[in-house]
Amino acid sequence: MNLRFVFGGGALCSEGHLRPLAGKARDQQAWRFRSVTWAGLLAACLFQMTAKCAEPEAKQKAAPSGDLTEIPIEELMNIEVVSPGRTPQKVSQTTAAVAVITQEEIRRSGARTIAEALRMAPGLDVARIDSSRWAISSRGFNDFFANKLLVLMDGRSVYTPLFSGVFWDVQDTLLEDIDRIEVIRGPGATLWGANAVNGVINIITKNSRNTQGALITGGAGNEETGFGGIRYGGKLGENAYYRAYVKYFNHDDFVDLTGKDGADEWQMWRTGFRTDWKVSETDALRLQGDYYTGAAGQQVTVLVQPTFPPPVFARTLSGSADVSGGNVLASWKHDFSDTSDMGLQMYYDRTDRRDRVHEEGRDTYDLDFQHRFGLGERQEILWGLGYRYTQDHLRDGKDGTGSILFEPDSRGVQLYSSFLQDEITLWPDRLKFTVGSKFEHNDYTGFEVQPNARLLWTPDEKQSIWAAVSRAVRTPARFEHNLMTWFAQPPNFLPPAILTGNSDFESEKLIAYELGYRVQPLRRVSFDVAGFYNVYDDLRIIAPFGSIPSPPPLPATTLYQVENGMKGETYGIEIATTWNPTDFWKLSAGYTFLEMQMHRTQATVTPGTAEYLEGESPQHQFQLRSYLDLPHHVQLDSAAYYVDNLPARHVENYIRWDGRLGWQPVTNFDISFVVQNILDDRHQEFGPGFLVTPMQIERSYFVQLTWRF
Amino acid sequence: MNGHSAQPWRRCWRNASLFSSALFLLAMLWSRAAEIGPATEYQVKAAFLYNFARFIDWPKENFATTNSPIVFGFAGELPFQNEVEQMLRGKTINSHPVVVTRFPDGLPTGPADVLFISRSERHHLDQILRAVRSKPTLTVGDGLDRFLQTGGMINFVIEDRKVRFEINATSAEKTGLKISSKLLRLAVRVQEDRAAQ
Repeated sequence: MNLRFVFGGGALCSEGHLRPLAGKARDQQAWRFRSVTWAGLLAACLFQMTAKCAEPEAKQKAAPSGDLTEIPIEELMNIEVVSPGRTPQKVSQTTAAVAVITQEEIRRSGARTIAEALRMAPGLDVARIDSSRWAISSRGFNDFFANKLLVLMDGRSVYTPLFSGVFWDVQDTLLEDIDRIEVIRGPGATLWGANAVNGVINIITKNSRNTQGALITGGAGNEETGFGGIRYGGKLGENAYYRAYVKYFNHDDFVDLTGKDGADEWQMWRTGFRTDWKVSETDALRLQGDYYTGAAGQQVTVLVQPTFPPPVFARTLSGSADVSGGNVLASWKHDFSDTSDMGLQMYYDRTDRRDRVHEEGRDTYDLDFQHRFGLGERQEILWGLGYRYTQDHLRDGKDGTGSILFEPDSRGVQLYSSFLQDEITLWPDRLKFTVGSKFEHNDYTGFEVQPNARLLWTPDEKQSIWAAVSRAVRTPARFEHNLMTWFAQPPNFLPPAILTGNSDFESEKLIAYELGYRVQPLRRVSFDVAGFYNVYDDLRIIAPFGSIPSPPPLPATTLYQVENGMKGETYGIEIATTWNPTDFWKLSAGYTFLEMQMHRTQATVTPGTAEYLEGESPQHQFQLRSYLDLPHHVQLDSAAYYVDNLPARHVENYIRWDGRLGWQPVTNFDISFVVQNILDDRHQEFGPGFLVTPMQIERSYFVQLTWRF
Repeated sequence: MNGHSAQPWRRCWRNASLFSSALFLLAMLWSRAAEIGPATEYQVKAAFLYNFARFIDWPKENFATTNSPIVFGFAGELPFQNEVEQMLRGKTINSHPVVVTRFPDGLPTGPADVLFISRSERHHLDQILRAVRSKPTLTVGDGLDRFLQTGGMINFVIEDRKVRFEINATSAEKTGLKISSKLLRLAVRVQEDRAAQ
């Protein structure tokens, strides 16, 4: 246990523990990290001194604490308020199960990554696999390769066309710059695309107008061995604002299922910028970009055949996955009138991932257009067009094991999409009917149509009821069509198996029936219930279709193929409630219930597959969060989560309790002390799978300092 | 070759100077921040109310004499009410002494030059605004939904933990109140109704 106290990112006299990443690169990183923070601190000192010299009058003008009427109004605008006003819970007008995670909740949760912050959304299943990997899904089918969720960052789609899932280790930004995370469970409203089958996560960062000035933050602890970030925001001219940030973190390894140190140390550098320009009354431009580079340790078990003919061996490899990438996005919004506007957006995204068994380089280009206008007194039409091109290069890993290959190893895939939606006010302020559809053409399955219809009834200001029927598809990815891999399946990894892609694999399909109710019976209490019944077809399973014999006594190699061999129904309910017993105390509770019933549609599907799919996600989840504002600007926050067991993965149920103590001793300076997993020294949240070696998540505590000026 | 310098004393020296510059920084910012201690949201809003009243051209009918009181009315329940009233009591604006009155039921039962409408009244917003529509009363909303669209004049908003405000200039002009351009410039948003309500 090494507790290191960090000020702005440097470390006091202590043993460094930057462990097995590439020796020289790691040393360089450490050196770079220390000099940057040194420089940052020095710059901050100098700034402070000059600021003091430049405004001697400010001291005379300053009022004794408390009499703010004596200070000029411009200075009033710069004061940070300690207990931001709690906006009343507005009864939302959306026809979907939406939860919003606010910046305040992210800050007070002690979450250090976006993936961890997502635990707060009811209806999401978040399981941490190791330091840098998570399995996140909504309404079932959770897996490291979970593929039924669409995730967007400021409008940029971040699910990977490699397996239609998300690499959560590279989805990040300066957490203080996140305005909110919208979590929509269920097939996204027509606007989103093929992949928004079970939900959409929309991460929205603040307009750069609202992140002016400087922010320096840093901290360290036992698992979060060191992290820090610097952001500066300024003006480029009249109505044009910008911000730029740089951040770094280093996360220690967890322990594996036997208690030994895992190999999953993780570190990342990231930098980015955003500019917002209000060109005129009617036009707004946004330009933003990020770049990141880092390394995550991981342990994978693969099958290798060093000689021909066999035998085939199972080999467990530990090493780091080097990741880097960046993106740049430009967006233009134009207002025609109060009821009509249009938006044009384009982005370029590059990702690079290199580990011992697989390497991927990918470029994505995307262009999107949408237009909204009123039709008559009662209708609002929304329509759009989009084009996306993604080109990849997939190669064998550094070790040359040949365990994971794709045929072809390089492919460019195009996606054309368009949508149309009509929102009809049947009865003003009371009844609204929305109907629409998305039309897509992709290179794997051709045309796909995803219609939906929604109804919203608002009997009075305090409550609303909504219902929706939708069709959604999850289009295939490189994984399903082009994969050729030695299929190392836990627990024993042998006898040997090969998994191949199938270019006849079709989209997975869903028809979802949803019903929801929102009510705010009292000023201080709100309640949100959503129920769903999902009917799936053509779900992906892996089925054997032959074998390659080996000279005896060696076992034959089974051949598996990806197929649409499963269908099923899932149903469940998600309940979220918030209660403000007093002005300075807020409670938030959530419960999620999920029942899954899968049936194979082909006799060749291995028996037990259906039960496995059903057991991938927890049946019950419960959360209770408390935010308490105490005198002297102290905050005491706490969150408890119960997650039911995962029968398919042999993971037991667990209760996780996180707590945070925050203090603002002077304006613009915050100290936080966070403990995660208070109850358990360590617990397991996920089970082994293809290319997944889970770790036990350990108790973590850290201190964080944040200074704004 | 290890990433940490072979001589531990060098590392210690470097880290100690890092630590002491951090302490120095802490000390400086402590002394700087002592100028203005941390403020609560409603203290800041009360100070804004005072400033709003300063930057309005009040019509002559509001004040019989140069020493007539300027009345700040508070509609509904207000958190930290006493703090807010304490900050405003005893002050003067352009030689008019400030007087604070409460309207706990929401509807103003007496004259008010500035009417602050608390969140507790957000469902009666229409009623309250209608009651003062023809009077030269500056209506200020506490972060109320659609306040400006319903005819309110100034609405507080919280952005990035700072108190800001938006203005509906048309509503103010209709009752004869002139909002100074200084306030208009500081507002995060100024709404001018294209069509009359």
